[in-house]
Amino acid sequence: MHVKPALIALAASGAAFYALGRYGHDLTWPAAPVPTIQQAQAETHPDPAQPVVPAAEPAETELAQAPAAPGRPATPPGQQQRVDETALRYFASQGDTRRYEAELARLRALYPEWKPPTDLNTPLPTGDPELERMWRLFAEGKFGEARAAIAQRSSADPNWQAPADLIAQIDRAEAGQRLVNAANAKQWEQVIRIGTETPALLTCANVDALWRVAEAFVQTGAPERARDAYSYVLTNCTNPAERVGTMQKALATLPEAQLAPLLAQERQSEFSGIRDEIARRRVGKAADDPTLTATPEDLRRIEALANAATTPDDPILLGFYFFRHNDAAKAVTWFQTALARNGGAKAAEGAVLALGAQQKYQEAETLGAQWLEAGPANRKAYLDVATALIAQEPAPRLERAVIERIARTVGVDRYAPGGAALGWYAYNSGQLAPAETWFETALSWDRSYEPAAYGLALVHQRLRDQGALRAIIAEWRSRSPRIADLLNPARRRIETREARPLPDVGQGDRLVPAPEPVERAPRRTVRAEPAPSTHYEDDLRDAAVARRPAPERPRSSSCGTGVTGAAALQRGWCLLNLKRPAAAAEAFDAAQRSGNAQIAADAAAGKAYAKLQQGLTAEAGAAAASTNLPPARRKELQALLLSERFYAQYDAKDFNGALITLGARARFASESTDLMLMRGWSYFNLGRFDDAAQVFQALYRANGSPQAMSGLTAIRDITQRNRY
Amino acid sequence: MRRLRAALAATLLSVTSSAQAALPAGAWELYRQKFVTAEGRVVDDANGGISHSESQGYGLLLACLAGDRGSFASILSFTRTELLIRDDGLAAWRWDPKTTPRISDINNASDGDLLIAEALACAGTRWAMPAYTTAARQIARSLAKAALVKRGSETWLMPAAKGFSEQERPDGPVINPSYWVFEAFPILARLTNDQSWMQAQATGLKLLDDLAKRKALAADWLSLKGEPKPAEGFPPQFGYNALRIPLYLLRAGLADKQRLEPFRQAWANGTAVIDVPSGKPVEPLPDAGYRVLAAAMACALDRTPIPAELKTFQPTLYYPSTLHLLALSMLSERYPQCM
Repeated sequence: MHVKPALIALAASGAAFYALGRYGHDLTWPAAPVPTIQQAQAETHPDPAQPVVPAAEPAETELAQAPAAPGRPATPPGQQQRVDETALRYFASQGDTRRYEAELARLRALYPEWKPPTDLNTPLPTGDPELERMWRLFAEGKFGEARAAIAQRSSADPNWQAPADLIAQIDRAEAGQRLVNAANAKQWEQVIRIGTETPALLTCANVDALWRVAEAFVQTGAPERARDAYSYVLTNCTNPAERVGTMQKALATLPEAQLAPLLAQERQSEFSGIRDEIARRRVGKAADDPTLTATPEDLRRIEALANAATTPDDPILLGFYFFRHNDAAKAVTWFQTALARNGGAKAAEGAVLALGAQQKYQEAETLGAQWLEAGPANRKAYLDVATALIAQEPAPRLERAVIERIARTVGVDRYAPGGAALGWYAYNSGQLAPAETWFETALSWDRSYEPAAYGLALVHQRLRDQGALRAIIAEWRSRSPRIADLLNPARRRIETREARPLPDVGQGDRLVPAPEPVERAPRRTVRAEPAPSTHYEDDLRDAAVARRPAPERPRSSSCGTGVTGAAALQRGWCLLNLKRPAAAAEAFDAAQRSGNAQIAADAAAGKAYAKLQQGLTAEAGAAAASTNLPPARRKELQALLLSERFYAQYDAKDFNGALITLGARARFASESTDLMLMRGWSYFNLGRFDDAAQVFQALYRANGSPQAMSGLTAIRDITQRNRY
Repeated sequence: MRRLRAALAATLLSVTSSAQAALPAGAWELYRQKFVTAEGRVVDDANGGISHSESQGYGLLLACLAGDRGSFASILSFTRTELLIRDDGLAAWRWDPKTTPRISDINNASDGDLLIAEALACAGTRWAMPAYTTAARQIARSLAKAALVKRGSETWLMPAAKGFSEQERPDGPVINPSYWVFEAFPILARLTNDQSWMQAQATGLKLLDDLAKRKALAADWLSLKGEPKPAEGFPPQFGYNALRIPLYLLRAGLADKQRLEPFRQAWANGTAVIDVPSGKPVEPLPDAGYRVLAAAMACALDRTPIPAELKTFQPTLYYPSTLHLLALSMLSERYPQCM
């Protein structure tokens, strides 16, 4: 029946295949107007058994819905060419400038010798309103309708054939859309395939398609083919915005070595912005990696840009570069410029670090204190300089508010070096009791932090508490020679701290606030936390008394001195309430020995709490497991223990483990606001910004928590801004 | 003589799918006006106006059955430009007018690909368009590579290239028995000269027969990890997916009595979504597009005539309307005596 159309279609598809095969292999970038993607594709996939195109047939032309000729010249170059100007004339007659220009560019690319006709305003001599409608549908981008109209007419009139140019135009336009869709869906092999099958798409008339094919080459591991595509644009295309855009794409996707030949294709310094960006990138890399050095030209370029602009980004970049290349003075100047230009948290972080590097700790601490809520990096910078500030010798005279601020931040972040530094600050000021408390606290935050253990050992030595001193030496002998040598005067090293004359133990005039006991203090969170007690003198005195090792001595009067099991139990709880966990643990020990099962169970729980207060998680766990606790109490303890484990894992940067622990804890108790915040920070630290944002947002909506806001700010900073 | 003609007709049919099958006069036109946009998009109006490879595949198949070459061309234009963009040449399954980009899930759906390939084969034969046939062959080859999985003597049609295998789900492999468009298998086998399509057909039939022997109804999604059972995370229902199974069996001429029995039993008291464990109806399905499926079974098994009101077509929603047209074309082709 339909023998004739079938034969024609067969012949046409054969011709199309032949044409693709020929042109696909003969041409090269960029001398020829049409790129050889087909060849490139073969190179992308070295395994010949695994071609990119799964089927041998060129699907694109096969799917053409009417006998279609490919939109390329069938005659070899050099011979007389007959150029199909139908589309060009149609667009001109419609006043469709955009399509007219595109078609003009396409024909020029295909036929370099060709001269556009001068009689373009002559209407198309079709006399065929149906065909005109098809062209109009095409021009309006209604490809489906144009296809339908062609098919309907073919169906009604088997002798009618759609003009080859119309079919080629629709094929190309559809392929263009398909290429965009495939690229948006990251189907890079398909993008390359469409480009291969529709070479007419890849001309200066559609630079976007060239860019997408180039990106597909990058994504499939063939950057040199991408470079060829970019080079094709720079060689052949004239639109200034597209030329610069091409360089930007190249910059974003290609290794730096491949950029030079492209930059060499510059016309009239059109790429100066690109060169700026390249310099910025190099300086940025060297700012990240101190082993790299930026060239003086690059630095001069960025400095000139920074001076000419009013934005903070380049100053921040330069600040970090100089900071990491041991020029703190220059770094401070640039960071201050950036801060004056509203450079925000990153500028402040840099300024704090650079001031610290200049040993201007006090200035750094003051500045850093204003940015504590801006994010983890700012807190870290602050803790670094604040620690350096108080660890100085001789101990600097600091305002009480400053010390309190440092103590509070150190406590909230459970920052062991900061805790130990506060210990040294007290020690160096001759205040042994608070020094002892801080060293112990620092150790509870980080059991392996030797400077805190050493400080504590020195305190015990000064207090002539031989038992406690020996206990520390026994624990640390193998890990710390200087602790091991403390009782061995012959081998004692020269130790500056020891060598310095110490004031009398007792009433120093500058007291260091003791930290709030560490249990459950949330980290990375500020202000709205219950601030550590500022009524510290009483606590300090209590703490100092409680440290006396002899258990039979009278204790602080308020908790009683009874020796029965019940009295010991009561005393344990009382001491626990006074936040004196070590003494409380002793009392609970005594109560446990009393023999009464009920009291012993209660005391075991108390002891677990006491150990938790001391930060001794493992011992708390052991205490909790040592006896049959009532289920409610066991649940509460489990939740507490898991909180502690969570914090330990978080501090060890085992964020995945920490999140698993939080999940386990949820079986025993609902998540507190603090823990939810920490959950957010765990996600944050894992780079799971969406999850983190969800948690912070929920918290922020629930109670407008400023900590949650800091979290959201930090996520924004890290996901939306440049590093500098 | 009649026998011979019937045999001849069957041979032709198997080659051309049911290309010669008639749709009631004007029915396709009503369908097209309601569900097919000018650009060639087949709209699932009950699902937020999205389209999918399944709707495009049904649209193409119905256009071919109705002999509407123009609509076929526009639906194919849309399908190819918007959905057939995957690296493997298969169709992305979901197209949402409200998202950017429109493809909101790049995974394929094997039934959509099967329907598109079948429709292209139908059109290639019907309008003598070798390009369509070639496209059908390419999709068939890609789909065999992506979705046919051999396990021992069996060949499973996975629901998609990703997400349902042993590695990807604890209860995997998980299949959707209604994705086995039985009428398409012999066509794809012949197109590609690949007998795994026939093995897949046999495996699907064996699965249905085993279920029928156990008097068990097929759920929409089945875990094949052990004995077939409803898959985790899906309602254990004979629902909007599985209710197509008897239609596909009837259209493929594979509907013997035992095989259809569970489906007929399930709808003995009216068409409904059925809770598989209890056999109880969960949600009635009063649309003519569903009732005609029950009527078609009654016709095939008992020669019960199709009620007059189901013989005429009024478009309602995309899905039942599609099933209605597929059922009517099947009935007029295979069971004219019931019409």
